[in-house]
Amino acid sequence: MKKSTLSIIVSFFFLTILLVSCSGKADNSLEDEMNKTEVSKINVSKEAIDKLIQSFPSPIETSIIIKKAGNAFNSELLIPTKKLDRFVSNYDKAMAMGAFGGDMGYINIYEKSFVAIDYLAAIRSLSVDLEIDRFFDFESMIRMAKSSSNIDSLMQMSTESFNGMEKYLREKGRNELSVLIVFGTWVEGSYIIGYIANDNMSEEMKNRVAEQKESVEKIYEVLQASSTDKYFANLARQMKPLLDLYKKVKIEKIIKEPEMQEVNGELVFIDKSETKIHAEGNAIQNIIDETIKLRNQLLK
Amino acid sequence: MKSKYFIFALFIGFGGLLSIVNSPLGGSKCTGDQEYAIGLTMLEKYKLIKDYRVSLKGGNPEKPPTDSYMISLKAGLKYRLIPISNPNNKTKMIMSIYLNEEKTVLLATSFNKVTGKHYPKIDFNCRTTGTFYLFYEFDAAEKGCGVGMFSVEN
Repeated sequence: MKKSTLSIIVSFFFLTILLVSCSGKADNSLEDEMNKTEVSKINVSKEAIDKLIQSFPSPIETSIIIKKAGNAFNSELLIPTKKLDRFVSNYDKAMAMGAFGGDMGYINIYEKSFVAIDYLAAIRSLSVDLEIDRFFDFESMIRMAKSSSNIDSLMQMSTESFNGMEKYLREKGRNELSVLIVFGTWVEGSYIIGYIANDNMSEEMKNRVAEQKESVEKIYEVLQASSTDKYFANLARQMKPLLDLYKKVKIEKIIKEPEMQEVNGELVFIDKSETKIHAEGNAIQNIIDETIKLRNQLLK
Repeated sequence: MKSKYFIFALFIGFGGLLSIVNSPLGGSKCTGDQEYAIGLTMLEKYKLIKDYRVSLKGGNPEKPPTDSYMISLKAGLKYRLIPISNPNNKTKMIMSIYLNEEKTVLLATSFNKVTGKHYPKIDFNCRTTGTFYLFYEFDAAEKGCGVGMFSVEN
């Protein structure tokens, strides 16, 4: 009796393990394929990558800043969608995908849905090559782009798709792709800010250029820490001049308690803190020039 | 033969009990999809940046369990935080922004400790660009789950 009981327990245990492993395999065929094609080559902790990605502004925020500063939409600032074969390796493609995602944020905020179609096509092509196209419902997104009244839905779907893809890559330890997508988005956003500031050197646009300092330092740190991989070492080398230029910018933050107001039953907090930005001589202009150079080297 | 069925039933029962005990809502499903759908209707002119699916076990009210994330805020932009609690929670989810990970400077929160009032959404007018910390917890350190929406005014 005792022997048969034990055999039932053991059999049940193994049957459970078998069932769990089989069901996992059926759902994860794409993951298996991805894991086969490329293994993470960068030696940066998951925590550091999480922090980097969480702390980067979204392309929506960058685009809203540009729009609020009174700048008109300029399609010439966007990356050309033709000749996508200039992005050869998966690393190039991940960076380009981030940059096209950044452009989508700019297009969506300005509600230029007719421009979005080419960018969605470019993102589709790159995501297919990277085997992450399942996070995007391109048919619906292109349909929304064709109907300008659906711009809000398109924006929401773009955000959800990129967030889902980014979460998946991080969970699966595809850190190198996550970093490059974030890097691509950041380079493109900084380029647009820099390009506009070049034409309109208002105090606000100068500050927007200067406040990229924190992002530059963080991304350089991750690229440098990943420099056992040649691709990342090369990116770190290309970013170094920009990092050096940002050393001439000092940002002083004076933190104060926010003011709390209840307006029509809704709670509003008004930040009372202050930021003072000090930039030496031509530092901002030099940063803009270097940012434009870097983006064109990597993505044009 | 009877003993075999008994052992099998015991296994199933034990497994089920374990999953109920481990689940923040004692067995109720909490995918966050319903809460997310509610949150979308509360965005109004705000654009979603990110949604956070939160699930916490109960703990000591002196040191409540929290989930925290770094967020980037830009001076001159207005942000909206929307905490949507699962209806099966005992208490509501609280969403707060702190200056740092140590929670020494509170910048915005959906819960007013003085009045005990929870707000379904809060707006934050940012004047300092930088990295901040978004914290989630449940009132009275209860277990629960929910979705937090982080959005920006267009």
